[in-house]
Amino acid sequence: MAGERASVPTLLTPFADVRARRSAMQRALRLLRRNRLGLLGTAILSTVVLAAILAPFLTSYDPMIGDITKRLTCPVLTWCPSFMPGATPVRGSLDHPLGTDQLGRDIFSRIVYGARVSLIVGLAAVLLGAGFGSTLGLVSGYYGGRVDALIMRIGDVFLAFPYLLLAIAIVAVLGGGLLNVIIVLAIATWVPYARIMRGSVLSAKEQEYVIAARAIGVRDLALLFKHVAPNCITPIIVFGTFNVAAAIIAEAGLSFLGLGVGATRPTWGNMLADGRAYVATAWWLATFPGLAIMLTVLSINMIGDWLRDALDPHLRNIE
Amino acid sequence: MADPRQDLRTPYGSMSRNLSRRTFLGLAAGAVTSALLAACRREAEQAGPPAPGQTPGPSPTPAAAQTAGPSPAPAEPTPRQEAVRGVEIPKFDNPPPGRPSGSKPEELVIAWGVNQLTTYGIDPQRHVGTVAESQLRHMYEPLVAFDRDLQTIVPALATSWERIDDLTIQFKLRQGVKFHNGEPFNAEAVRYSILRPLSDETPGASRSTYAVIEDVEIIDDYTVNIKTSRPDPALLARLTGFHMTIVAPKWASQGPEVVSREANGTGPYRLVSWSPNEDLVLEANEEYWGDPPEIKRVRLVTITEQATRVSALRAGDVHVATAMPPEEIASINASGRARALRVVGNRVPFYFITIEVPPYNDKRVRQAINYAANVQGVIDAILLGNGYRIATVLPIWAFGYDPTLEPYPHDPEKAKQLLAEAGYPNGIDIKIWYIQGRYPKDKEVAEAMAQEMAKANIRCTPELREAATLTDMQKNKETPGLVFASWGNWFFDADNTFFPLFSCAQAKDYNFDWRRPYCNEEFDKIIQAARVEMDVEKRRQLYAEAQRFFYDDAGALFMYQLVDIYGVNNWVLWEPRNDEMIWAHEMKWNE
Repeated sequence: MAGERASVPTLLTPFADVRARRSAMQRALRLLRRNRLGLLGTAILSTVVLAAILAPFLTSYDPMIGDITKRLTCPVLTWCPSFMPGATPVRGSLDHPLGTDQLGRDIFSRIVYGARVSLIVGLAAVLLGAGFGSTLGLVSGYYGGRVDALIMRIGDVFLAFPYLLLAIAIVAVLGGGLLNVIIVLAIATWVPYARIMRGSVLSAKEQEYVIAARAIGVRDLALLFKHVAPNCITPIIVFGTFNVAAAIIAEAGLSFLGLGVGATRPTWGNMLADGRAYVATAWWLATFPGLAIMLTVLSINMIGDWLRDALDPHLRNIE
Repeated sequence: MADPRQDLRTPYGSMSRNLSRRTFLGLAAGAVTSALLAACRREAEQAGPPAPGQTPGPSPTPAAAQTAGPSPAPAEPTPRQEAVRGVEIPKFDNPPPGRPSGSKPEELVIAWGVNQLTTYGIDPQRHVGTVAESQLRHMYEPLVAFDRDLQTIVPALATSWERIDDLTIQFKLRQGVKFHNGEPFNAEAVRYSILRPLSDETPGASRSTYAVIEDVEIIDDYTVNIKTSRPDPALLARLTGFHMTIVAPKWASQGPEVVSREANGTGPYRLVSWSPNEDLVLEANEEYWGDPPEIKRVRLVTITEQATRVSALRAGDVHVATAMPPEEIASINASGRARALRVVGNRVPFYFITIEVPPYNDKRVRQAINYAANVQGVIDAILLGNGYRIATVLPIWAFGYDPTLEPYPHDPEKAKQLLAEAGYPNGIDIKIWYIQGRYPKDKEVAEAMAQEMAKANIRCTPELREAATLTDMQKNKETPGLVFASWGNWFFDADNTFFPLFSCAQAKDYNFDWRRPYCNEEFDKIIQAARVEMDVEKRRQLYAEAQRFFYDDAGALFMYQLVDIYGVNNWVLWEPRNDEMIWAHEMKWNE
């Protein structure tokens, strides 16, 4: 019994093995401890995620409703510019630590609530795009032939359009809204996942464990999802991580262009777009959401770097 | 806790500061939307004593003053005008020009935020847009024009006029005037030009406004009778309109293509060069019948981005720039190179309400919306005071404007109570449809009002759309709720607001869709009666009645007149007009 278990799994599913996975995870964590950037990225992202989850407890202002008489209040520790002749400059206060926007809404509240939209869009778009794309890539690579040609040619057509342009075109047809933005970003990004997956599958399907599984009569579907897919998923995870950052930026871009989740919802892109008109007079409107986007995207990229190293079998011996 | 805005506001009171960007732009949407002609109201005044031997009192006043040719003293206010208007136009305490910096510019550059010369080129008789009017009126003139007070009609190419009967006004034409190409100005030119935008070959975009004109009879070389198909108390004002400018007839009969790319009028400037999407360059017409302009060369340009216009003004590349942002007024004034000048403008933004859809079909709900929107608060905070609150949709200088009507106050409690009476004790959920970037702070104002209404349990879903998309949606009745609109009444007569926007006839023309959602038979009776009422005082009372009805019916969300903010280089001496017209011949170099 024991001998059988020791030999068969190594032949069939070396990486999918539970023990192997656990050790990969341990290795990743070990690597993380040594990777300061990865650690920093994780810390920043955890903060953003926590803030998004705990938004109602962190803020005392409604992100949607402001007080127009407190419009364009400057952040704490700064002096508000005077818009009228004879006006006395006023100092920002802790009431609104990051100031208020053009409608008197608290910018800190909007950034915290905006994190929800950004994270949801980033994660959901990637999960959807990666799921859809890698499934097609799996099918394409495994079956080859006409199916492969068809899927890949369709993919080529998608790739022929610039990413954001394609997203804009689809939003123009479907209309805005959170769900639509997610769908749009998924549609606009599925091709690279399909290609990566297909490439991995092409090499994996020639491996002995796949041939062996087929030889003992494992059916196509089970073979694909139980044996092939788990061994090809690593590059998808790494690529997907980077893409979360790209999706957050894309959502901000769409919102900036007025094609996002709705004009008054607190999203970082909306805040940037609204703040743009005030860059010369009220710098804080565009600065803070811009910083939020930058930090979040940066942290995700740092995590992506770390994951790439951690999950790369070729780097395994380097530690 | 100190509220900066509060401090800032005080010096100016409600009318305060800057205005925001200028309003031009015709709404592309309904063909008619924007134009401004200035005509009607004057007519009303004059028309007053239409009936031949009517009363001793008001004789057709302008005529009296004008027999003399040139330089008619700015028509002195006649008793009748006092009675009709008497509305004082609020003034701003604008800064004087500072010392010019650098050497005197070789040409004057005026920048607008929008280019309206894309549809009909530089043909003056077919556009309705205010920007196009402002630009092309440098080269073309009508028979009569509004003075700067927007209440007095003064001679232009006609020197005097007289109402002969309810259907006819007779004009004496200015003699010795030549078009830029040398053609003589005479009765034939007037007949040709006035009928041209009414024709099927070269229809003007707001032809329906002038359809009442039936014919132009030539009495002799310098006398014409303009006849209407029904009594039109606003005819004289109507004739100040952009469509009614006079073009050189022989040249113009070569066809609309020629008129759309060349120019031959009688105006103080003549065309140097223009092609689509290029600057319009003008030079002084030294043979002008009046005083030739002091500024000899002018370039009219389009700079779409507001921030770019501001920096072009700061750099001295542009000498007059429109629609400066309110927040920049102080810094423009402090720049040492230019100053920001403000006037109450003619453009009235407002929101249509789709009155056929519940809950908006209940007048109490519409009133509640007007009580809850806190328009004055929004003007003070968002526009930094650069809006002039009005009771309905008529600008203050319009004939028929009733100054005794007070705007809806901000009263959320009253709004809640009205909603409860209407059967909505928990408030209502409504939608507000708006656009961005066309008028000063249009987006912020909409969102701020939505915020304010929420405090009275009127929960607004903001629906921001691109302008052309919004128009399509209105056509398809997909915009229940409040729908943004803006109107520049170009001849300053109540007729030119109520009839095109809120009459049943117009609603019918628009297939009863939501580009014109208001049609009320009782209201319609009043405004239709006023359309043909030749007695000035009676007509004024009819419009007062119309405004009270419309106000009580809350036929729209009533807002304000924009305050126009111009950035003006210190090399240029100019007093901005209230009617959005920016004319180089009213400017001088500051030497």
